[in-house]
Amino acid sequence: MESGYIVEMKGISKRFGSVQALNQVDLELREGEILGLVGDNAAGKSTLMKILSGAHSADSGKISIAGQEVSIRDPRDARRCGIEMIYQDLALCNNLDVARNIFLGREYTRGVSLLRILDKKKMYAESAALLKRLKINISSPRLKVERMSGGQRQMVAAAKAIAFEAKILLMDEPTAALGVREANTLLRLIKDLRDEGHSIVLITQRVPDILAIGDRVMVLKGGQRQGILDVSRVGLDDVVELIVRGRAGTESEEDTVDYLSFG
Amino acid sequence: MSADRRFEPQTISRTERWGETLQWLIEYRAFILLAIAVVYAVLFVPFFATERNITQMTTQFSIDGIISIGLTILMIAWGIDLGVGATMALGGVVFALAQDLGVPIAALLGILAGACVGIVNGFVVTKMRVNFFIATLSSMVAVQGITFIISEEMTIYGHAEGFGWMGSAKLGILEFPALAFFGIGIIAHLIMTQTRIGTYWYAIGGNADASHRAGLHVNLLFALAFVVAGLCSGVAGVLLASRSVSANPGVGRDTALFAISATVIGGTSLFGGVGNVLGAVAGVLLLGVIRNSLNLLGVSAYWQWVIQGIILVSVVISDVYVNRRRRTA
Repeated sequence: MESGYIVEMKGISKRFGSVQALNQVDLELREGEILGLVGDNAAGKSTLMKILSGAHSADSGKISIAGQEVSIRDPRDARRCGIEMIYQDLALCNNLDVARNIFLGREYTRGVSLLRILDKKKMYAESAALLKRLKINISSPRLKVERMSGGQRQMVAAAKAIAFEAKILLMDEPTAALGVREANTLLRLIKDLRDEGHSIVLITQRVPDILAIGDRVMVLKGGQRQGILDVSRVGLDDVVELIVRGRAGTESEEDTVDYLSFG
Repeated sequence: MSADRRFEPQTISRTERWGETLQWLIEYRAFILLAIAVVYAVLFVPFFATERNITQMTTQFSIDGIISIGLTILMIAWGIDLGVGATMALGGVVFALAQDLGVPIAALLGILAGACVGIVNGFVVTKMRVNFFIATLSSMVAVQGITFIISEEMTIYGHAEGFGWMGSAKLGILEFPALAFFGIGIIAHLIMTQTRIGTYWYAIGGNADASHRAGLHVNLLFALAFVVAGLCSGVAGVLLASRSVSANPGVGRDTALFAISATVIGGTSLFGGVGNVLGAVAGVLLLGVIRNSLNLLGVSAYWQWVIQGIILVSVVISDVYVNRRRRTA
């Protein structure tokens, strides 16, 4: 890892029709850190992470993982690079149970060749152990996701991303749909994961969350990077200022913001 | 809250329990209704429980039943094929036309003809992005045309040795088509419950976007489900031709209605992601028992259509209800 970063994205651009979602964006993620990715709506946060997770492909730019340039064309490529993403819409199959969601695309099988069958016993046992390790309040991995609360679904999505010990975790608004207690549980889990050595990008509108558990925070605005700040050296006002006015302070004076909406 | 307390089983309210019971009853409705229909028929329908009637009845509905099994897999993956009847007719005609190559090769060609229709449907739906209703309706018309062209609008009779074997061979009270139906049903059930691809078909039917993000080849899996439906239609066509020792290019006009009815009665949702093959088998048996009983009771074919239509509308309404509950859960 010559650069010292586990993830480096250089000059990433993405256009959807007439909308320039990302314009020459760089991102660097250090090993074992929580990097907050913040910005107003349509800033390009999710698009940038979807490019890293393989859900979208970039129009231009380069991605390096641990110093090696990689080509991420689909989610399988991202997984091979040790990247997992928790999507804002959770990306769960509600008609399947917890274990099948966790192992979707990576099921354990037994038997030979074409006659390989699912090793359900192993998948249920490992899912149960994972739920217990993460202190997730779900009575059984056999429970269908459609029978669960929003908070439980969020935790299943987190468990799914964590199950295979991905080095790099991307989380898109993981606390957005959660109550205070559930959000705190998840934030504690994210911090634990960082302490275990995972590198995490956390997209959120809740800036105080980042200030509480993050190491650095990167601000996007209108598809462009505005700056990257060290959490230990800034406060809520500095981050919100950057979100609203951008690095050049180009917004008009009439632009005001209710800081509470970010917290 | 302590860590241990988080793992206490959650209590279920009486309303939730009733909701779950109702959902269970709807999900397994085919088995319950089948038991009721069989008991009624045995007690009140003359000649129903005779060996000859059971043999004939199982053979009759098993050919359409094989198509139901293929459709079940396709509908779980959130697709549908309205042209299964036309594909069945094509399979039978190809089988009859190729009989001079030997019955096994001819049968294989008939089945492959069905698979080819499935490949075309899968390609048009996944690569050309055509809605599956429109795609399969269009291919149905085209396949019907091809079938009439290659058969020169005539029924082709079986003259090769062994042509009718598959339609008439018997084991116990069951003829080969019924044995094939139950055999294919068991294999399909095992594929759907015990293998990766079965899980993937459920996954793409439940949430195709999430499945893509989980690394599944959604388009390929969806196209394969069309191929399975085509294969099953081809098998049905070969068995029908063998049983009647002839291939009629015009057969299969009611097949899609029967197969879709049986599949939906069996618990497969029109909205994808939900269903099971054994339920579809039970749905086929249920419709078969009802149709046979009505025949034995002398009810006219037109009234039978009315009854089948009412049954289909009822199960579709219950499917919409269950789906609404599921999505608002």
